[in-house]
Amino acid sequence: MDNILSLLIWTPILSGLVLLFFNKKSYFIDVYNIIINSLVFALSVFLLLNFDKRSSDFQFVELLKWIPSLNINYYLGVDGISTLLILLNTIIFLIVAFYNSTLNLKKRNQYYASFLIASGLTIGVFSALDAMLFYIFFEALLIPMFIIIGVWGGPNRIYAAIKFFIYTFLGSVLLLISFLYINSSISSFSVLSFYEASFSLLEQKWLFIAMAIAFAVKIPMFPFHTWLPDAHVQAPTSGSVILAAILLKVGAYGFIRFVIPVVPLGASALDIYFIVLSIIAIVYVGMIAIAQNDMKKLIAYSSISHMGFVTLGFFIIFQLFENTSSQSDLIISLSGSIYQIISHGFISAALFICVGAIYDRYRTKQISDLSGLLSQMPIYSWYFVFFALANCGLPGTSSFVGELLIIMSAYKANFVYAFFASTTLIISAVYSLWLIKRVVYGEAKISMKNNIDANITEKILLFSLAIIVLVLGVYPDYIINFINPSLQGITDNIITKI
Amino acid sequence: MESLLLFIPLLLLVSSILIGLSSSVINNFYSGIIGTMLVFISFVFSLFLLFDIYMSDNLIYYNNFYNWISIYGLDIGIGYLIDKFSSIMLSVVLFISFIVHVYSIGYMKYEEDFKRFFSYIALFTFSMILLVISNNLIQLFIGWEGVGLVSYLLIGFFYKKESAIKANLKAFLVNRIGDMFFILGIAMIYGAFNSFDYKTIFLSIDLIDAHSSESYLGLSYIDFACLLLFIGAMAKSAQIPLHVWLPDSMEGPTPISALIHAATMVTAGIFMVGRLSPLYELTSFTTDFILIIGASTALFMGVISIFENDIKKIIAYSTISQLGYMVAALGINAYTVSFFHLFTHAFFKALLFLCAGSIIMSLHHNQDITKMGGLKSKLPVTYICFFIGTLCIIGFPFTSGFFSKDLILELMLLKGTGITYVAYIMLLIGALITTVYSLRLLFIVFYGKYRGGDVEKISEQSYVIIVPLILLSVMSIIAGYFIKVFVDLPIFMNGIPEIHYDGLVTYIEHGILSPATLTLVIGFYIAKKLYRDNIRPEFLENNFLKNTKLIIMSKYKFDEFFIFGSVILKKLSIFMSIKLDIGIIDNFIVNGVPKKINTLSGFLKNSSTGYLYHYAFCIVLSLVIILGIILARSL
Amino acid sequence: MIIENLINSVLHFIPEIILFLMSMVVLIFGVFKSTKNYVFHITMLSVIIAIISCIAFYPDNTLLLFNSVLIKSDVTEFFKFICFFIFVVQLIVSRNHLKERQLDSGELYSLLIFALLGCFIIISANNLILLFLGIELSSLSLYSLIALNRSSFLSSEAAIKYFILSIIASAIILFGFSYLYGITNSLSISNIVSYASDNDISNLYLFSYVLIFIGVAFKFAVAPFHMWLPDVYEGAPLPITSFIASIPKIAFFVLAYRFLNENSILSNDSFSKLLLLLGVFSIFIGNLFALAQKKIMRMLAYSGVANSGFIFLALFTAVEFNFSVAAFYVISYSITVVSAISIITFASSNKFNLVYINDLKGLASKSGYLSILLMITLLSTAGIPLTVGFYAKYLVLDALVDMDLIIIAVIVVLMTVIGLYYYLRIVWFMFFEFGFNSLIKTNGKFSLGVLSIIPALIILVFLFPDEIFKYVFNILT
Repeated sequence: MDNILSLLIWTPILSGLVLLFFNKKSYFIDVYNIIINSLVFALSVFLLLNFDKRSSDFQFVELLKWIPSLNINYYLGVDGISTLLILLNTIIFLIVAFYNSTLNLKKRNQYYASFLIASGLTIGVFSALDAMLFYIFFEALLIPMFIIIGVWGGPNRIYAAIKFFIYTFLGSVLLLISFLYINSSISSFSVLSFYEASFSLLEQKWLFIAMAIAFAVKIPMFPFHTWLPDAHVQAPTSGSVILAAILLKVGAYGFIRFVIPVVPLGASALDIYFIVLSIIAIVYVGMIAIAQNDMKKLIAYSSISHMGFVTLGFFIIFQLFENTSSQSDLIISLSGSIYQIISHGFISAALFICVGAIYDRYRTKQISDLSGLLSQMPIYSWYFVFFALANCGLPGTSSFVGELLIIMSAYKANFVYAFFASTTLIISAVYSLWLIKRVVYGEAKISMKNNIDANITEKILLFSLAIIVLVLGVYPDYIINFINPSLQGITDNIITKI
Repeated sequence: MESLLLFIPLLLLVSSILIGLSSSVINNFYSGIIGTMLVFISFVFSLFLLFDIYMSDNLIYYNNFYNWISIYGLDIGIGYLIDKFSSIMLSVVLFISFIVHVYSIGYMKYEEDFKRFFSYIALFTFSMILLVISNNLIQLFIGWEGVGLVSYLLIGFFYKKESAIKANLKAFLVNRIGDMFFILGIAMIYGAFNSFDYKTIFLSIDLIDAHSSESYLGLSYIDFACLLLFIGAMAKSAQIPLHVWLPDSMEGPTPISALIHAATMVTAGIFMVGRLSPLYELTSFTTDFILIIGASTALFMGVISIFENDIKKIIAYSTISQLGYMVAALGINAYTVSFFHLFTHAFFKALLFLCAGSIIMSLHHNQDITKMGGLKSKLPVTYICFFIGTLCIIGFPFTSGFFSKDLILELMLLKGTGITYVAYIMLLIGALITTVYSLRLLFIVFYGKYRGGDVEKISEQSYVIIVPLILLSVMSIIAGYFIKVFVDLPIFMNGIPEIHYDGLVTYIEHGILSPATLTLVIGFYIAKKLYRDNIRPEFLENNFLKNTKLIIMSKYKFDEFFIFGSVILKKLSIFMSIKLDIGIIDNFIVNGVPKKINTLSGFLKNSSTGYLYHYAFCIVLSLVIILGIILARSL
Repeated sequence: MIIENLINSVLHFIPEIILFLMSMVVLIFGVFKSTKNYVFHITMLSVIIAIISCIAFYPDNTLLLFNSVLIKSDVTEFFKFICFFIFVVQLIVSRNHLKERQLDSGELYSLLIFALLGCFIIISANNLILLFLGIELSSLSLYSLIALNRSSFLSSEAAIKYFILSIIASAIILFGFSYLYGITNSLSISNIVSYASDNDISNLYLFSYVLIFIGVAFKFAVAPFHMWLPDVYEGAPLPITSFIASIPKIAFFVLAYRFLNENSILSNDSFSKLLLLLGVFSIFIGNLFALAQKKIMRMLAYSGVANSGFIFLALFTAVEFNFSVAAFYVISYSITVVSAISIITFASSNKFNLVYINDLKGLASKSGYLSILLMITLLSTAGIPLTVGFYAKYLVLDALVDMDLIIIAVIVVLMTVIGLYYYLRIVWFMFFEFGFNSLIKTNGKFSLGVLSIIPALIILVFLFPDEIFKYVFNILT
């Protein structure tokens, strides 16, 4: 099973393209779609099981000459981090596939096709070891997302789609330039040779800025975040799920795979700005979330604020290293961020599914229109409460782990960081639980005749998500052990450079 | 024996999940029975452990159930540390929980969400257990947040009642404020010791110099860390100014009030400080801070309940003030004494609440004491139990309250620094106040004649209600005689002289002769005059007292303060959202720049005329310019 | 000996000769009623014969014909084949369109062939006079082709504009030629080039080169010499537009290559700067103007200006590298734009001309396939990955970065992001908007098949570009 990664990438893409061409009765398409996604999921599980957790280097490596004349290669491989992200990806897409089968859509086959293609491309992003290959997947990923938002989105979808596309494209062209620059100096695009490359401080600073902006737009970090709420609000539910659970992670992955290990000097020289931006994201964006009246917007902003934690975890490591020159602290901080990435993937997905379900039933996302859902759709409401609580970092749920580790590391870096980071305990509780208070509790506003509670598929989906969130929260050690060797490798590289 | 430990939390978790998810498989009554049985079993286990620990001296169970996280050098486990301290706490919690379970079977009979309730209280007990047996700060925090969560769910149990869902949001947020500081405190401890584990911390405690030069706001490192931790405790244990959530939490069903306020949630703060006493030993400022907070809470919160008319709120405020006593005791490093008061208080406070519950049931959910009265004859058993409870809380000799409260007051005197004298006075007055409001409650509710309409429908509740009351009354009486155990507890307390404890009898004599007894008498006199005989003396009618009364009845405007804060937060966030985020970043920059480019392009488009000679001219002109430049360069 | 040479030369000149003769034949066929309808087939036939003969007389090494007046080498043949390919596609696609508008007369086809011939002569000329003849031949036939649609006011206007302006351009070029002849007193381009390397570059030499390349800039429609382009695109019949947009660009690229290859003038600062600045300026102008356009063809015209700017940048990068970058860009762009215009041509039925971008609203809901073809083409013009256009821009940027002109690269890239907007606008009109125009023609299996050749190529070449890169790099070094 040497080319399992290629299988993971191309199975969904090709089957998606196939799907474009036939337009059979919809249940057939549903089955097809679910089967393909399950297959991919099974493959990723296989990947996880056969992955050697102890080694820190890339595994399942595939290296084919693609464009030797530009020294671009078809170079794939995964470490612990990317393996987990691929698994996250396949799980989320499987869940989305199930969720989609409960909807009634126009152009069903094209809808599924876009999702399948997006899935494949994302796996490509996570497993590419050649910078240009990464870039190509990274860019190509925009197109299906663009189409999903633009075709199946809400009333203002075109604005949102264009904004999403051009904004992220703007960021990524800078990425292209910096890759070209690195290539021009070391004449290779392979990530590993990127890691070995050494640049002057000035070069590193500029490279850092260029790459960091590209990924900061994608994550998104504070000043570059305004595309996300629009995209979320306009996107169809499954689109929002993918956006929050996967695409934001692509940005975070870019930081850990390219920015920090490749130009650590530049990063450490400019880290303070990004720490400040992350803190602003945590506090300021969190407070903006409080003011939202559109549930999707609220969750979008909360996602941004959680991503602020991720970036904080990434960028404090340099100061950590200055204070307590011990590698383990770096690893702790980074693993906090990775954990946050993964947990947020599941939680935000679940939240968006809940909101989507509410929208399907009440045709509104506005908090002010809703009340007392608990008496009308108890099961959904309880899941909504659960995930809202998970969203505000309750211990026992997955999000607590990441936040805990990051706050602890932040303290070691600087008390002030820890202080502002820990305000999220209050802020996130305010926006999550106030939302719950207004929407779930109280007397019902809108009267519903027939039973509108979750059907069996939705029950299964939410239950499985809840179980995942709980398990991740109660027994994080497995994943932590899984990523530690990779982080060991990355931090080794960083430390040797700074 | 150690293997039993795993079952104690596990059984509770099982019962919670089992009852919670068994939608219609098990009917209400049986689910109640199951829950109660499971709690009872774990209670029995805890008793085994207790005896095990106490039979052999300084036996300590310490281990991990499993590794929660282990990253290079950092190991966080979910485990247990059972010593004399935590084993007592464990059995108390489980006992109260068991009682409440039994009681609830009767009390919640008619609720359709009966099962949800049982699932909650099981989960609640589970989190508390997790907190009590924890052997590291993270597990402590997990339990800590857990009780916060479940209290949130329980207070909002009647989710359709606006007041209830307001109250539970408030409770959770106020607790979160505390937790923020708590986690910062944990972070500081971690920063100092590179571990969350009690053992590691306590062993390496001498390695770091507590009074290190680097000062945080003028405090030494440990001092500041402990302060942060204590702020967390203030939220949980409802100390001024973070007490505001507790009176509102009376929105929950009454058994919950008993559970939350007697043994579990609110005592978490006290337990935490006791658990971390080796750290608090090293603090100077923080202990004084704790003392002041505790004493003032004890005094000022007690006063409020003199003017309350809601029976549950009265008891709630009395809880706060009693917690004040415990905290004050912590403030003089008298952890065991504080713990002793916690122990006794657990029983009689649970008793009082459950009595209140039974009264409320009998009066068909009337909580206003002005509509009660003369219930002595109607509810004899409840009356007796309530009477016992009152005796305990006012510290009547030979009752449990007497022992614990006197011990605290004594130690205040013995410690004998300026600040403790102040605290002593405050606590003494507090004792007086306690007597007054407790007796007031007793008199108004049980004496005189019934003011609530027809008397006929009032009758004692079923045995599931009565039996727990009796059990608790018994415990409330005898709890005090365990004083020896607590005095000998191996939590070291320097800073205060060893308690010269020689025999029960001498202690009781000494206690009776202490000023506390005086307050008892005076308090009784006042209460009798005012509320039994309803005499309104003239001298109460002057303005000063009226105003003070107004201030007190406004609860010192703490609620208003928090509401104000929340309004500010909301306004600020709306401003940020509309003005900054949408206004400046989005409209001005993100969409603004493309708009500018678009207008520019439109302008250019219109500028292209389409006249041939313009084109020709342009071509020639640019040709000339280019050639000119080239020429200039080449010369 | 001489005879032998002559025969040899003639043999190798046969493709051009065939084209020449056949154009006459087409003209004659067009005259008579009975044969009128066969002009298309004759044209196809002649082109095919020409291609075959081209293959038949493929030179095994670089040949100089007619005492080195003409060059025949891998380069020339390669570009000729590409021209042929484009030409054939255009012929097939535009047939119906022309028929429906009664434009498919004999003279049209013969003029087309003449234009093609002219371009071929430009491609393989090694002599200033012949080169100028080629230029004029192609331009003259294009004037009349633009004006072919007598009924339309726009096209005659366009023809006039193009006529006068390109006369100016030709004049400038000729001026430059005369100087060159004066300096080097040789008409053979290879001598002229070698002259530069033997003696150091005099200002006059530089001057004449500047003049010639301003002429070339005009032909490429590089700003500020681009004004004619939008009007011509708008006015000319679509098939003619697609010809103008593609084949002359290739021809003039080869001309530029001829003049600059192994020429030390490239290392002259002023000259290279000129190329660079013209390129960047043109990218600016093109994108900014295109943004506000409402008509498809004008939009494409300005995007063409922007792309010509890229071509000049690519030529500039030849200062350090070779012309392969520019070559690849020219080829990919001209093929892509042909596909774009062909799709427009196909879509506009006899009743209705597809003029405004709004007309594309909701096209996807009528014919998803056609809109996907158009989307691929446009994304390739924009240079998004998954299309060959990405490599075209990639190579230019790569070269710029290698030359440490990172600022230029960043500016250029940002401009392309602006450009992205107007390509995306068409995409979203097609896919996201509702209410399509029922007059748009979308059926016709055969034409659709032909149309999908180029998009298919675009994707395929993206996936497996290496052989092509290698080939282009080889022949141009």
